[in-house]
Amino acid sequence: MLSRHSARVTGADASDEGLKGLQVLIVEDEGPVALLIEDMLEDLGCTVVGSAASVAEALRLVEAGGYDVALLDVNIAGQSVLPVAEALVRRGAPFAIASGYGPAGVPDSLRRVPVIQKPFRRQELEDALCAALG
Amino acid sequence: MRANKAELELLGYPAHEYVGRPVADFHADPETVADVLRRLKAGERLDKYPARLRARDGSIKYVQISSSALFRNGEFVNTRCFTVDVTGRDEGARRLAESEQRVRALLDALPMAVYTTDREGRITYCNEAAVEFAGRRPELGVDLWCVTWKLYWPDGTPLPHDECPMALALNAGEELRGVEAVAERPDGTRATFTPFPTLLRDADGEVTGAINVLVDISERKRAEEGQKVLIDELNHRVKNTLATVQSIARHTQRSAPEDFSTRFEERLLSLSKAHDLLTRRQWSGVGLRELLEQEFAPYARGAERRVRLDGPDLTLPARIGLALGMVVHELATNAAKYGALSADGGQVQLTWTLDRLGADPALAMQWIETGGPPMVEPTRRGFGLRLIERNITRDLAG
Repeated sequence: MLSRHSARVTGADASDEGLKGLQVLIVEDEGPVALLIEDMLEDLGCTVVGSAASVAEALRLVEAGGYDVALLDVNIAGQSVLPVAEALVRRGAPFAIASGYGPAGVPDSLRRVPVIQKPFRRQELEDALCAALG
Repeated sequence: MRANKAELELLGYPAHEYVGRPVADFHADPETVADVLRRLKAGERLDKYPARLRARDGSIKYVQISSSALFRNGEFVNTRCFTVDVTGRDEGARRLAESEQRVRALLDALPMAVYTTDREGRITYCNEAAVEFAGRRPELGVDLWCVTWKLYWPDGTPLPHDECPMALALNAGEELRGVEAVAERPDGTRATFTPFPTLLRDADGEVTGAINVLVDISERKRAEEGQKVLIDELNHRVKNTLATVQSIARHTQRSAPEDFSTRFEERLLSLSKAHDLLTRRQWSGVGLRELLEQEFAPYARGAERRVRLDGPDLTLPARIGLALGMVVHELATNAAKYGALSADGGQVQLTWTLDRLGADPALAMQWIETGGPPMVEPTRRGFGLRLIERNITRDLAG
């Protein structure tokens, strides 16, 4: 289930290596939750290259590049994350959504993006990122 | 007012006592004359409208009024009125007129939209509440099936008038209940309602027409919608809070596995108390001072004041209040275990100011511990420190 990311994990057994070495951008406004996600990603062997707590900061990091995949909350400090998602789509960058609302709270235009509902297990995070990377 | 001889004879007035006086003087029921005038001014034609007039000798005459108003250039000029005395005709006709009048008064007084149609669906009567609900005055004897301007199903698809529940009742004998529909007024506003179409029958059971009551349920619909939004928002908050608890549990397990239940409980209770403060203000925000006082409450006992708070009282947004509460909890716990609050006479001084960071307000806080044991560089970056770094650079934006 994790093998689709094999392009990055050259020469390694994908099912063991999973997302190792993947560079991830996080957009999450709640400190403790961002901390949790960062730790889970580190457990998975990923590197957190950026962590944004506002839409403006997220847009800046998205445009700066340097990540393989992004994980977005839906509501960032009262603002919709949609502009960030649209910027990622324009750049062709894969992303998944982690939201307290679950799939029902995701805007229609993002229906095809993998969604996990908070709180989630590390495995769910891993699956969502793999699905995003296709 | 002018009158012919028959009218004068009916009421027993000489012409000079009758002509020129307001028509209301001769009616026994003020509501009736008001209704008659309102209908005429609205352009309605009255046909055998039942009324009671008072004759000169005080006796009551039962009459039927047929009348229409004359307009010139849109201005109301006068009415032409034919009054037929049914008092002497027979007791039955009089009773009928009286009963019809009573029913009409009753329907007019109802606060909900009521209208009637004949067998063919032509509207024969509607009360003022129906006019108000529809946002228009239907043309009696001409308009068909429903008083409303436009109809839709609740999903927004158009509902033709000749397929509406009233049409269904008259055409197919089906008196639907529990159906919801949306009426659009000429001004574009909409109302959701439930119709109660009911067939009217004569003594032989033959359908003579139908009556419909339109119950406006817009308010209930809005309340239901508001409740749904509220539940979604609550669910979102609960899920985020559970993720926060998950984060606390994970970090406590990593940083203090030997002391897990105590530390976890303390952090959970601190979070819970911050929630209490938010609930007190319906989640609109939290007072900075009350938040700090609550966090320091365990160390405020004893004669000497070991914690000094100095700064303006501010109201923080809910999310920022929760984040700051967690940070202060970590700092206070740390001070009690290793810092100034672990030694006799040690003090914590917390001062803050509200500055500006560009266009945004920025809260600057200073935490000074005095009289504590010598500071030891921490061997690892615990949950507290990481949370502080995290919260200060993110949630508190500096």
